[in-house]
Amino acid sequence: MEQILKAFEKAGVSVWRLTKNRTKSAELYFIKKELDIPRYKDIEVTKAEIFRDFEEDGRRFRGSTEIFIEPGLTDEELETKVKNAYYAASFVKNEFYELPAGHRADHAESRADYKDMPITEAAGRIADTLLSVNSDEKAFINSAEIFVRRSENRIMDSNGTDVSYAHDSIWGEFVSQCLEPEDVEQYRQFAYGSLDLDALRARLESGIADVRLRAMAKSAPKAGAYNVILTGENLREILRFYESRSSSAMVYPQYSTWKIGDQIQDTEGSGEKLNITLKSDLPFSAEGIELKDCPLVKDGVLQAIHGNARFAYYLGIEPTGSFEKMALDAGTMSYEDMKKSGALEAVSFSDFQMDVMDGHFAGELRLALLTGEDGRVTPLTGGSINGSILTAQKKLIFSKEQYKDSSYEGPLAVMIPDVTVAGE
Amino acid sequence: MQVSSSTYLTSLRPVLKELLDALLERYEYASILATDVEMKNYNVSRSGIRIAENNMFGRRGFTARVYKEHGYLEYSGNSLSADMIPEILAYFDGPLTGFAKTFDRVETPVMDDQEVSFVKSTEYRIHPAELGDEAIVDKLVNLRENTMKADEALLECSVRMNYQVYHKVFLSRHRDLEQNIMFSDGACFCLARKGEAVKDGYASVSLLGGAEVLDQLADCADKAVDAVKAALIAEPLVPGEYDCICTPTVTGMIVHEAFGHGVEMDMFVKDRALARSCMGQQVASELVTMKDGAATTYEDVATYFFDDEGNLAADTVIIDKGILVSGINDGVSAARLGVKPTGNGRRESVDHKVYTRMTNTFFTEGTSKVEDMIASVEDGLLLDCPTSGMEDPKNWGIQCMVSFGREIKDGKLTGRVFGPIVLTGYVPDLLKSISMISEKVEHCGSGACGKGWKEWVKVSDGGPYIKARIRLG
Repeated sequence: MEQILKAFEKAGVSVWRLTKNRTKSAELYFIKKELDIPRYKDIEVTKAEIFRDFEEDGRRFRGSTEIFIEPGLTDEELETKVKNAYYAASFVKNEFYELPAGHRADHAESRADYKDMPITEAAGRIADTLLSVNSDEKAFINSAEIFVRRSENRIMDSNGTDVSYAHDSIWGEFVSQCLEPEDVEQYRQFAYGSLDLDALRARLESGIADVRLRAMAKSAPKAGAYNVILTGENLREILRFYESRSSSAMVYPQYSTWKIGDQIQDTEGSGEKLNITLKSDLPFSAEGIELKDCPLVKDGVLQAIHGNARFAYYLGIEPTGSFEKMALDAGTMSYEDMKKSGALEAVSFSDFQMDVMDGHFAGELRLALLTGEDGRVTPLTGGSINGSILTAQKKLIFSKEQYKDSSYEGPLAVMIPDVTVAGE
Repeated sequence: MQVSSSTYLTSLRPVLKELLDALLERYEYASILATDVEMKNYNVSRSGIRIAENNMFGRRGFTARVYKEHGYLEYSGNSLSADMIPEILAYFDGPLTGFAKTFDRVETPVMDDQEVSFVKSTEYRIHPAELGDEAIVDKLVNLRENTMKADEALLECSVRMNYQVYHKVFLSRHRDLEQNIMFSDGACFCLARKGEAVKDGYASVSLLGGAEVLDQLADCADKAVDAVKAALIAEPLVPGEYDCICTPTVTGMIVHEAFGHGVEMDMFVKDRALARSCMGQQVASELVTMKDGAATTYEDVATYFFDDEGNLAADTVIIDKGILVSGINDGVSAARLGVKPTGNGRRESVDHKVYTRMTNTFFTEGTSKVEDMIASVEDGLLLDCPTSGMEDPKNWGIQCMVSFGREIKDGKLTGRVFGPIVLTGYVPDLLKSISMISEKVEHCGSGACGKGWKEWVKVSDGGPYIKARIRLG
């Protein structure tokens, strides 16, 4: 950092932010029960944001540019890079704004329960769990990738911010395959902040159970309008609409017209009102802002506009930093009752997407389940769902049962009314 | 002008060679890939102006690979000096070898390492660094302002330009390769409000070269405005099977997502690709020929001279007049399958794993005129503006999305627009239904391709207009 600060001083840079990250990662790639390739990496990157204040016609501007400073740069290269970036910032004519108030804090230790364990050992334990459930000849894990990462992070700025933290994360993906009666596969991800091998085992086993169902699916749903049940990451994807529309990055440029106090969700009949809180597993945002739980929506009314310092300054609100996790209050209907109601449960998609600009969501069904009046479950595959949250949000029903992953805590399922299904 | 060599990599060569020699003393096979990358983004929108370096597709760094215990081990870093070599050797001898001994390995032969040595560079007309940040920002600001002024309905016209200059050195016992490459892209993203919804229109350009891409951005803005206007009047589509004309960008999405991912041969190794069992069979209409390669005659953003495993770039025919004749592969998969490498082993960045990846992928041209193709449709749609797609190599299911389709009735565009639209169905059904192909191939390389949900690499895709029967939702 000292080498960079000297280069700033030499170039006349007085407003800046530095973000240093060093990440070590142990990576294992499996095909069936065999190790494809083990990898280890150690990468250090420092991002420098260089700001330049200037005035034109009595208006104050604060331009900025971002550069990466990687190991191996000579003093001369670094000085040239900083000088050029400072010059470029003079063409970035953005209205003046303040950086966050300077914040200093003690180093925050990793919150992971395996923070003292070598990452190679954690990766090995995850691999052992993977191989322990991969035992059926007809339905099994086809392939998997495991990433165990440990990072040290430091954020400093010219306002006096100096915070640092360690972070551990486990991320991976696996493809489950069932050979009979149809040879099919399902893709799943997993992400944990702790070495939760029981949760991983359950995730792997449910991936195998779902692919068995998909193997039995013979046809797509009949075309028409359905109440559709979404769970887990697909429910989280729907909620991204509320997260994005309430971000200062969408409100400032007027892509979103939401204001604090707006009733952003009207309900009809038994439709449930949204109660959303933004959360983070990290102690600080990318700007060094301390991340505290941020109540976002209360009974369908917007409580906060969230985001970074620049847009917050323009909007005249306090910056909250950015969050990666959403929490949602539990709902009123049991998951079983949802399924028994004749709704189509969309278990997995090839890709399910929420368009936060127009509120439209869609995806091609890889596996859907339809429970008949007699309780018999029919697995289906193919076809697609296509709907708009702007109309659907009036009648959302959430489950009583809860679900938790690295980006979501809340009801396991949502039932969305009258969704168009393209099928047979 | 030719892209020049990296002074950083040139100065690092003696250390890279020392590391390679130390590895070759211990292991039967060793190689090193080292990179130096500069990528810069310029963006102008209602939110302001942004100039930022980006390391999404690469950074300075290296990956050392060795062959041990019937397979490969890798170490990646971005800090390297002679005194660090013992530490790197210790990782190979320690935890990486530990993994290799603990778990059963996928049996892998040693990769081919025939002697090749060259230094090659691509050409550019205007280097963005020489044009300068001020000139680039000025062009983008002017284009945005002019576009916004021309249409009051627009909420936004965001314009961007990106360029990347990358340098790679690959060293093994018998190979010493260097390539220096520059590509650029640009895009316009228009928004307009429709009630509570905000509709968008997008158009992009790309090329192997530099800031000359800015010359094409004005046309791009016009297309984006047309697209957002179409999205504004789009009506929901009644799901069903339709006769469709696909614009080259939609053809490109079908080529890439629906079929291209299915012939990536690392999926063959995992038994995850239906294509493996269909070699030599008809999978598309006789009108269809499909190619991929970093060395095709068409040059775009995914053009290079060697891949990230030191295999030479190729021009691969995948479908020849409707018959599936070849897949594409990375070197390790090629060794496992006993086939010749096609130069498709790519890493998102130097510190990521290699996978089989597409490069420039496209259908070749046909003989029909676009106006005749539209005239041939009694009741159907002209599909435009692809937004996303997802592969399904195992079962060849299609999921592609487009912003809208323009209605065709009795051979004429009616002015009605439907969207957004999801394309679904079975890939060979769609490809076999192709009944007309236009004369001119167009490519697009402004986006990036993921392997599943990650591992982004720069690709281009495209083709001519095609006429096909497609299930839409």
